[in-house]
Amino acid sequence: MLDRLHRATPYAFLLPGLFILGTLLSVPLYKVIEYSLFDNVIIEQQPRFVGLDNYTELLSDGGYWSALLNTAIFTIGSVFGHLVIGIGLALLVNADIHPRARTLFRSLLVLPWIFTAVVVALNWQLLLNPFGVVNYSLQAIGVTDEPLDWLGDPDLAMWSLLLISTWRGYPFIMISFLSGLQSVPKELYEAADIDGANFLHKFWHVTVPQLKPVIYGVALLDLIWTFQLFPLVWLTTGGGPGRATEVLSTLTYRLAFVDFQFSQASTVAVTILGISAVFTMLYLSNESRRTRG
Amino acid sequence: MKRAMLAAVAAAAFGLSANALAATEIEWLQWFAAEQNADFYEGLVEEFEAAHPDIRVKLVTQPFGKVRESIVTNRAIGVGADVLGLNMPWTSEFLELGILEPLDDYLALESNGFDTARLVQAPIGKIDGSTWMVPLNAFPFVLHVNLGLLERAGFDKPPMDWAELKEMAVAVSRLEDGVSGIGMPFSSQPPANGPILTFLPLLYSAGGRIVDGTTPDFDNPTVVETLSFLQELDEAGALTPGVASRTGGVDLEEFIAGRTGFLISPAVHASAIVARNPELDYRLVRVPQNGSKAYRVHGWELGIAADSRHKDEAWAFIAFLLSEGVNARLAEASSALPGNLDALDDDAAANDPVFAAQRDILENDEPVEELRQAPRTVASWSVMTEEIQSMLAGDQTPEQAATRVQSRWVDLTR
Amino acid sequence: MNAQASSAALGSGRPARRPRLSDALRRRLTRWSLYGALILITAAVTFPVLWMLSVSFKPTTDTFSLPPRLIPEHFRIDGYLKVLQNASFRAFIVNSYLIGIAVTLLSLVIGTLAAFAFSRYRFFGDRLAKLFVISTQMVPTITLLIPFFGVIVWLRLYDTRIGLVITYLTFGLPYAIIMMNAYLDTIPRDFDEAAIIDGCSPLRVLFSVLLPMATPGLISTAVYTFLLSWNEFLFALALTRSTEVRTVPVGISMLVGEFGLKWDEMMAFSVIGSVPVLILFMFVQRYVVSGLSAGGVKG
Repeated sequence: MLDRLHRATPYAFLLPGLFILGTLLSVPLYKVIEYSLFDNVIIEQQPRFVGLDNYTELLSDGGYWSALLNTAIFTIGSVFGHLVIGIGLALLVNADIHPRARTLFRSLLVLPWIFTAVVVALNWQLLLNPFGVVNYSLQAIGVTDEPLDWLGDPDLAMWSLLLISTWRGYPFIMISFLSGLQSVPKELYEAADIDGANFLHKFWHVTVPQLKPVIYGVALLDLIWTFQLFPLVWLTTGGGPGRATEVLSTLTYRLAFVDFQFSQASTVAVTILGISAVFTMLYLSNESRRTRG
Repeated sequence: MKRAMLAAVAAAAFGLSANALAATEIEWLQWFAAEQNADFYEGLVEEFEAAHPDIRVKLVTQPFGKVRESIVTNRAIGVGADVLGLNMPWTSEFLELGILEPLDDYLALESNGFDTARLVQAPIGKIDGSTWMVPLNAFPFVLHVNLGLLERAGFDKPPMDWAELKEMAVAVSRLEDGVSGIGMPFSSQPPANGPILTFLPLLYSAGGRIVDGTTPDFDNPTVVETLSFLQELDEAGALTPGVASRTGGVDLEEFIAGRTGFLISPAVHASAIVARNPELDYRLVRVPQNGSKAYRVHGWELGIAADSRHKDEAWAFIAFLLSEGVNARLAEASSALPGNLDALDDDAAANDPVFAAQRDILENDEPVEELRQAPRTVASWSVMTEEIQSMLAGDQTPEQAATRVQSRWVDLTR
Repeated sequence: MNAQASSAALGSGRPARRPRLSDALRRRLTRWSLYGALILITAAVTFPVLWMLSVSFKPTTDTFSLPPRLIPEHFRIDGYLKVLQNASFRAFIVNSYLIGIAVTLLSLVIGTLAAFAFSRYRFFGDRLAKLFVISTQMVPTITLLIPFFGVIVWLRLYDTRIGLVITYLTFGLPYAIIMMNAYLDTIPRDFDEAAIIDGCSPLRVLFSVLLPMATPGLISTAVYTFLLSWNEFLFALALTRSTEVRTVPVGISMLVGEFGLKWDEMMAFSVIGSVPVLILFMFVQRYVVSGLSAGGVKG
């Protein structure tokens, strides 16, 4: 009797969460996939079933592939930036400094996270304006002598976007990692000290192994979120100039709400789902390997 | 006990009958209240409700950038509004989606407080045999001039034609760093409508068009001529650097801050310019001509949703907004010309040279509105923006740009 | 604790045979370079925020004048006055906080329970359940918008704060589950076993043993969930139409007009809205530090 109760425990804990997500999201998720198999959904009362036609049409469209490439560049670049800066700052903030200073820095470093995409996009537009403060400073110190069009030059736009995205997203990694750092037992560091370990050694052999679940967790989430990130890109560059920063999410929005082609938009969405699912499967199998060991 | 029950029954009966007299509620989806003064629009609603106790109006405000998609999305879910604030360029797509209700019968009503013939005609022209929207207000596209900068560059009056515009813009650009002749907002940022803000007014002043009936007609000599003019301006250094990341909003702000000599935009901006920078030596003139005295006309329009369940009430509200007195106040609140031309204030022209200049354009020039029937308008602007960006970056000629826009636009319509 | 470790580490951790003076000097150099790095990086990172503040305290004409100035030439609080005097904007701020707090609390409670199941149990369908949880994050929210909108209308939650709470819950819950799962995973099972031997029920183990040790993780999950709902504007715009239930991001979008936008008001609104969040965060931070380092159950 107790045994059966014991076996039911995980399900009981899982139930409220799964119930909410299930009832609210199953239908929309299903609908998105369904839309991709029909033609002219939402607009037409009786959309026509077209099977995989939308997919073949999409995969033979050059615009899709260039958006996919841009998305890959944007995602990998952003996540990399987030991880490096986030973890780096977490380590710095966690180091031996006055607690008041720690609180101050931690609060200031979290600021980029607090503002909504509209404000971030417009503020950076001001900063990166050809006559804005960034160019002004660069010219003052002599790095450039002509105003650079950070958001309007196809060669610079993606870099500017990566900068803005890194700026906005690193606090997530930083705070998550910082919290994780608190849980590493100090005895492990002390043991390493006795063995004569230096900082890098301790980081790599004590901190990282202890925090692997956290690192993988945030990396996965960041990857999935950045892969489908929409507001920041759309509001900052609109996918331009000339589609130079068009990512899959802006392509989806364009198809859905500029062209009113919801079927096509859903098709792109399903491909995003598919690719993210691959990341997730990798994460899950990695995780079970880790926890089994 | 029995008395209490009787009282309860009576109360219930009263409640039921009160319900039967309950007001019809209609919803007005617009962005006007976000542009200026929300209180003003709420006041209008109250005024209307006082005059029509059986109708209640719910004011639903969305930012302009979201209105077009809200109309489509809400309708798909079945929570659409009854009275819709509209932009003329949305017409052809909305007609295709069956979103709008024909207004001819309503316009023919005797009880309307206005004369249909005295309304700004641009949105009223029949498409497929019917009228689909009426004008709340109207604004012509004009050339805003910073006479102060012009004088510093050695000129004493605004340009009348393209040659003068170019000459003056180049001269202003040479004045100092950070000051330029004119800005061109061709950013891809939403709504990426730079071409219709600056390119179209110039095109119309050259007598050109981009649509032939309902088919795209971008690849024509006048378009190429206008594109070439833009390129000449750029090559001569008259344009503010950073064309591909410049938005209409930034364009306006830099003009107000006195950093550009000219701004091509709707006349509504005049009041903002004057209010925000009274020191600016500001003039409003028609867009410099190149053979044609025509201007792009734009405005805020009103329509009724095809699936509204209270169309008569919706029309009553629209008629209220178009009546002379209300429309005049609306025009003043939105700094635009009234949709009901009977509401034009003749005195205002006498006192205000800016307003007089607008009246002059309204009365003497040809209004052009061809986007109502242009297919896939919003998507086409992105295409135009991108090809013009490419042209100004030196990657293609005006002829090539025109051809590419045409072929991409036609592809969109398929 | 960590302080000792890091500073000794950065000082290359040589055996204590060295003269103390050199160690102290080394430690001071390390500390100065730490501060130096932090100050530099913090300055670079907060510069855009300072710029935002600057724009909020300038007349917009100054924002677009040259040369660009960080310290306003004409200090104005007009933007702030307009925002504070606007009753709608005040309502937006209140709504954002109410909704944010509700979403955070619900996500934490429901999410931690689920995370506990994933972390401590192997059961039939656990991989599938986890995949489902994560998959809800994988579809671009814009495509989910219309069908989700339909669900909200069907539930009669259109144009309600509860509707927004439920919506943000679906975004925040998977995140809370995954993150709390990861944080719980960093706590060795020994603690559970010790507690179970002592006769604790699973719920007891979670609340009395694990969560106190995972408090920093709980706090950071809470912070992020709050910010997620705080910053969201696509669904807020779509699912609400009355001023009474709208949120700060919607209010900010309203300031973006057809032909121009109100820069100073927008930045002022953003700052006003965010100050309490920042204060909240500063207050909550002290709890991020407590946790396992205090030493867990040692037997």
